[in-house]
Amino acid sequence: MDTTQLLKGVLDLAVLAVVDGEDGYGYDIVRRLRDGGLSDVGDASVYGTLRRLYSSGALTSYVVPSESGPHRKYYGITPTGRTQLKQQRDDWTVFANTVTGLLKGTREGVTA
Amino acid sequence: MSTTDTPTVAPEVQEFLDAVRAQLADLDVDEQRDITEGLEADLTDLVAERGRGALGDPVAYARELRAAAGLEPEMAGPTGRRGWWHRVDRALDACRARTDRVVQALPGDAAPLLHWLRPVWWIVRAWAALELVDLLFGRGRYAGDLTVVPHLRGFGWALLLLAVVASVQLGRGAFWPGGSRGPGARLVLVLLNAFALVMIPLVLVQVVARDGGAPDDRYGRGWNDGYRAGADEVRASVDKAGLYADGKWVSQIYPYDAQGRPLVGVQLFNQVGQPINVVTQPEYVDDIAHPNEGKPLVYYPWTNGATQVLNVFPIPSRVQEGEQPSATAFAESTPPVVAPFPLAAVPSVSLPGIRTGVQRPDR
Repeated sequence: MDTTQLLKGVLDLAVLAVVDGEDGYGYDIVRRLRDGGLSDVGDASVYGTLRRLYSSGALTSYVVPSESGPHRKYYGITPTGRTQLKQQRDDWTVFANTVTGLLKGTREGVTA
Repeated sequence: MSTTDTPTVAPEVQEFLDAVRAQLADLDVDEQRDITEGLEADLTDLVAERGRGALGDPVAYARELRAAAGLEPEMAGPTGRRGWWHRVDRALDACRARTDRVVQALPGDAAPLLHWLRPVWWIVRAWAALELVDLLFGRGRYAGDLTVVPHLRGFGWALLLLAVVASVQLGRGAFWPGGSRGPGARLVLVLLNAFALVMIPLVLVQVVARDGGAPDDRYGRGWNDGYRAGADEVRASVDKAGLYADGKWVSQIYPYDAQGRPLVGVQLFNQVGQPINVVTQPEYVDDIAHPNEGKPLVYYPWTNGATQVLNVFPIPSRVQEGEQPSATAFAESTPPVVAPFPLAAVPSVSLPGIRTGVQRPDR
């Protein structure tokens, strides 16, 4: 199954989750997602998501100048973002449990 | 605040980012800035960690970025406005991305090595271009042979240096006005590079054939030298100085009068009264009758007391040490003399009604 399709639905949630603990800049957040197991996540998808979450007020952003390289744009979560994260986490848990239960039932149905 | 002018961004990142921005051209300035701000740093990190091949296709990248940001994936507005060029740009981008992927997939350290070798290519293509100019318009055109440093009327080294600088600047992307490359410029550059790639073997064959590629091929080299000498002569004929008879260099004239007796001190002028000046140079004539033992025969033209007069014959000469004429030659122990005439006397000549050996009266 193509996991990129699944990923699209939960990328907002995943991004909010990894930013929740600690502010991060674009590539740093990509790295956290990959280290967390989402190895197929596309850079541009993450950056686009960050911009969108910023526009909707879920994230705040600030630029940190760098002496050795280009400036980095950091993102941090806002209260709105935290609310959204909690909401989506609950939704996800319910959804995942539902699908898991559904799959169990199907398998038992087939094997029985 | 814009970070686009940060000078520490690698050229490939900048190029990729420019291509991405081109796909965001329909957004207003603030939106564009929001969406691309910080990308320099992110892409720089990406390249540092996974190589430039990880950049991929900027168009696909922009599409993903737009989609994830909740914008229309494709750029709005008529893409056909600059449709054809846009397609060229995309085709070049795709080509670039594919090449990068192939290079990245090479075993070992091939990718950084190839990247590191790019300046070498810039120098080689500059050299090939100059050799080509030499072949078409310079020495190679006549003689069909090229030297390692193009001859180009003696300006070879200077022009080579200039061409190398231009090529390197072009390669670094520092040559285009404004620093950005339109699809037209990119296309021209690709074609020029391809052309250079094709021409280099041809030029190399020419150079190697000339410069000791086959040192034992004496016949071939002799043939080349002869051909070149002939070619040089043909070119020199345009501005020959001095006297020639039947196309051959004349350094001395021995006049005889109508009775066939040798004459000394004869002044010659042409049909419009210009002196027929001879140009002499030291000669090494070492035959049995005149054993000069390797010393040069140096000519001492006649003078009118103030300057040399080069249209008076025969010209005195002497065999001496060194090629420089001596100012005091005529006071030395072996002064220049009129060398013996090649023929002691020649048959007399006459025409009916024409008297010889007299001064021509004024008209």
